[in-house]
Amino acid sequence: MQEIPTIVEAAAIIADRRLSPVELVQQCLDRIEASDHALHSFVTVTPERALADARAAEQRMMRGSLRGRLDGIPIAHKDVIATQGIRTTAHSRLLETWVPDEDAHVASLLRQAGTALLGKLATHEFAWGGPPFDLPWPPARNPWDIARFTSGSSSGTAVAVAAGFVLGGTGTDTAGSIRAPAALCGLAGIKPTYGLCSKRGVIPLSATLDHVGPMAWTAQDCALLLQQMAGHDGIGSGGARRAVPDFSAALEDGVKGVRIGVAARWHETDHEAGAEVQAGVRRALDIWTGLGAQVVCIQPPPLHAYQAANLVIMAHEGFANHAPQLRTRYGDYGELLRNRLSLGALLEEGDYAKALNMRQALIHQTSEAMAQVDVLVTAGAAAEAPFMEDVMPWGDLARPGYYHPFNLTGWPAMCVRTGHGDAGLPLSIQIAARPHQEPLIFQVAHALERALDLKQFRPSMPRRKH
Amino acid sequence: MQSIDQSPDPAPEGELLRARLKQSGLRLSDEQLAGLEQGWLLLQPLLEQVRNHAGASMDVPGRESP
Repeated sequence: MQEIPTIVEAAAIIADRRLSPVELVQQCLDRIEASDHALHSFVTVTPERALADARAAEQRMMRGSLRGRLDGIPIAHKDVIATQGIRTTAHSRLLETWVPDEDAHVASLLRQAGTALLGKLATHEFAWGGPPFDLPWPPARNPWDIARFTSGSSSGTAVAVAAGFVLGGTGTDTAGSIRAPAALCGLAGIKPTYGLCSKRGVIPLSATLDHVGPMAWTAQDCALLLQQMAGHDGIGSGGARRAVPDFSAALEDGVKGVRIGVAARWHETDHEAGAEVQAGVRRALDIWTGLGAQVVCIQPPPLHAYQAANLVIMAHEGFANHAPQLRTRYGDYGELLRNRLSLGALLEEGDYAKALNMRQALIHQTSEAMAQVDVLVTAGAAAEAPFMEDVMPWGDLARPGYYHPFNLTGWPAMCVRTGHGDAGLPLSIQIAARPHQEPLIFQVAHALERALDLKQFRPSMPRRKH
Repeated sequence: MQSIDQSPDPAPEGELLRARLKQSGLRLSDEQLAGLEQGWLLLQPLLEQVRNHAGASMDVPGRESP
């Protein structure tokens, strides 16, 4: 089987002219053709666009004028991110034929870097309703075991990266939608600081909680993608008006002296993670301690407090966004999404404002809990990926998620792999920090990934029978 | 989103939901309403937390709560 390079590795061999971007993109298209019939990661594949992008990058390579390390790198976008001239569906019957006139800001930035766009990726409907079985496209399947769930909503991006269909991609995260599928599919995914990446051209779910971010095989690759995706859009739909730091600058600095706070109550009590997950967290802490980090236990507010405020805000804002269509096309929405959105119609006056006030209080309390540490860690997911038929339709209401605290606070948080469970599926840890501390998160994550050395361990792909 | 008038005899849960949905312009079939009810029940403890959270107070300092 062909070895799948990381973005960093592919960039190096393209820069040395040992690999043509056209060859790299063709390898990805071949993998999609061979295996995506079973994984359903793509809603739309764009081979002509991908090869045209790759040929342009190849010409720049031959002229010695590559635009940077992303030039010629195969990527794809979650299908809530608008792409000029390419259908953007949100995985919904409502947008089945919508073709945007312009790119979302992040898509435009990645295009300017010379990336090759392979297509649009499966999501839970409008980034909240999934896994969907009553929509025009099936839900994506976990490449480590196609009977298993990917989590969501950036499910297609997680699957496509893990399967080597692309080397990186975009996701959005309102309640864990980058980090949860990254965790269950064994890759790296970061929800950056609120507003760091513009949301212009990204189909909204909840303005208060929505974030855009990169997903890739390693933290180092995510740092490269985020470098290109971050920055103001000139309009103000997110995109912080501050200088974007060099996200890769501290990658090799190690973790000596870094103060790591463990939110043990979250994964040991509030939502008790499985023994393998907890062992993975301890393994990571041992590695960081061995590299010179200081580990202490911290006491942030309980997970269910974040969950409560997060879900009330999400239900209110999600319903506000979709109310006109719900009134006229209720039956065209998938059952899972229309049920979730309709909760927003049932809230009482004042619930939303109270949830926003609660959010402010939780931001303050989180900040206090982290006063003596640089990063916070907790589980990335509670267990290995469940079987698809065991996924609860109201799971995010029934149990608090490890992700809600950082959508609510807007602080950056990332999931990376810690190992594999008894069933062979990935286990993950989440690393979070104060606003705009992404370089530190990448530094801590990279130290762990380098020590664990799991980079070459990929899922084996289902093959099409001829 | 919107509060509704409470009748002296509380309506059954399904009817209450249907009335609130109707106020928001949503008319659901019995089957569609049934799909929503479990989520509504699971949301209740979360809503209670939001309504009772100290940081969620909407009181204006210096004024009495209604």
